Amino acid sequence: MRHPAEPQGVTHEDRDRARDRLSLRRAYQTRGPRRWVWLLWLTIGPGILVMLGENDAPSMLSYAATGSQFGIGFFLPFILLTFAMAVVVQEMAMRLGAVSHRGFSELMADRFGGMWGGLLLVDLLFGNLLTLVTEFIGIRAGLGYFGVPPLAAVSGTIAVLAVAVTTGRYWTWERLIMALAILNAVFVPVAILSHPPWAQVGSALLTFTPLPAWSTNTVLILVADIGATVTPWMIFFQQAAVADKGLTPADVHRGRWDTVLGALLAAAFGMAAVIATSTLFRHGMSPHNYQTADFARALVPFVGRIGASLFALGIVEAGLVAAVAISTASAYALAEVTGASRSLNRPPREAAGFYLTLIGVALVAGAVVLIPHIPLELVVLLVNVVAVLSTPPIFLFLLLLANDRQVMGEWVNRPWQNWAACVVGALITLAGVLFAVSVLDPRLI
Amino acid sequence: MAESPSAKEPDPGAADRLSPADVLSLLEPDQLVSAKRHHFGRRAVVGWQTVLFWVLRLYWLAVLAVAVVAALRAIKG
Repeated sequence: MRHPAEPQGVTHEDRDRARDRLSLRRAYQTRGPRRWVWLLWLTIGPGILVMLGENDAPSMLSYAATGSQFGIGFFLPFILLTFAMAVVVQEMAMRLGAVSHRGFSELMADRFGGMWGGLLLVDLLFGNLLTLVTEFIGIRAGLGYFGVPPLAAVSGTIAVLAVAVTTGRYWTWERLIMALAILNAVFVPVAILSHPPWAQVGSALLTFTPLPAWSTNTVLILVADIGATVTPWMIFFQQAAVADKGLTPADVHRGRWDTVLGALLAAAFGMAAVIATSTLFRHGMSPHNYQTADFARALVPFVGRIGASLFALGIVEAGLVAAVAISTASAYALAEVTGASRSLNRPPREAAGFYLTLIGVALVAGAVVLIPHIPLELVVLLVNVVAVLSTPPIFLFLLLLANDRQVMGEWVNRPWQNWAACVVGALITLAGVLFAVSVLDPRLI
Repeated sequence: MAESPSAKEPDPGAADRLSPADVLSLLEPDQLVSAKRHHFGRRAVVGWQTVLFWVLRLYWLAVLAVAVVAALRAIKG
């Protein structure tokens, strides 16, 4: 909707985006080492947010469980590998957003028709809602460690989300959430406080050893790690955020840096969580069903109260950032398909549907978590089923769009990018099939 | 690919002071909100893609079945 006071079809959203482009243009004109840093600072955002958003509450708890069950070994470098896979996928989403200036849902509906666009949208919204529920579970449990009641935890999360999105400016929102996301680093001091055997950490990173014993549980952790690192919401979020930020083909190179930097940070913080809880493994404590507060309490003798509190805070932060990113991905996707206004550069009065969706999905997920005796294990299981099984088709469409010359022009995938994408696609599909088999009959694995 | 410098640049600190001409010069033509109403149009689907899309439809039905089985098993036990 055009603002009545705006002349010549130039909207408030266009002006804010132009303002960001002007800052970038000035950075392009500078010389010397400051230029590279300044340009990177202005360009980074969607990649870091998507990768640190992927380090969500369930993922961090999964890393913590891995550390406590397997110690330091194969799974440490495996985290790096899964993020390398995520870079291959997210780079395509970033490039599509920068070149087409469109979100994934919109391009899907445009190029493949409403049926596929609608199907992927329903799939995304359902999966996102379930994932949001798991984020609220993590936030509730993390704050529960400090004695915060569930209602206050859920209300506080929704308040943070509402304040962040109603700034009416993409740039402000992005910097606020990035400041929050970087707090994912709290797992690093927890890892240091646990006094890990650093030589073993170095050896594991270089040799992928010791290998875990082959079991159904090991396979499921491998599959879950792959499934959790490449998820549908990440594709929808990064492409839409890149378009909303106003990146262009001139920024693709730095967009890649943004994505790689995000992946490195997320992998480092994920590995820190594994290292932190590996102290439980070393001391013969091998919990299978620990939740946030259980992990924090179990860690107290080894990392102290401060370390344990940081661990619980880390889970809260991970859930909060993911809740913001996933809600935003849902709002972008729905507005793209319905043709409604969709930009964080729009004030709420100009994009009411977009903002209502964004806060509405979070409200629904928060309310679900507060229902007494709700089978939350069922929600967690369904999240995994939906995420792992719906990723291969969405990835396939992403690959088709990244090779669509009418949309991408000269920015279509290079052959090596297609090869890398095919390897990642094969692994995602294999993970999906193994997960389906484990659901139908675990004895077959 | 660097952006071309302009002779006289406006103050980025004040979006309201950017004239429509400034906005048009700073954004790519298809970045404008009005230009985004343009659609790319349906892609021509070749033979192998038709087969692929039918495989995807079947995959989705299978996924639905797995999700239902998983949910039922979780509820029962």
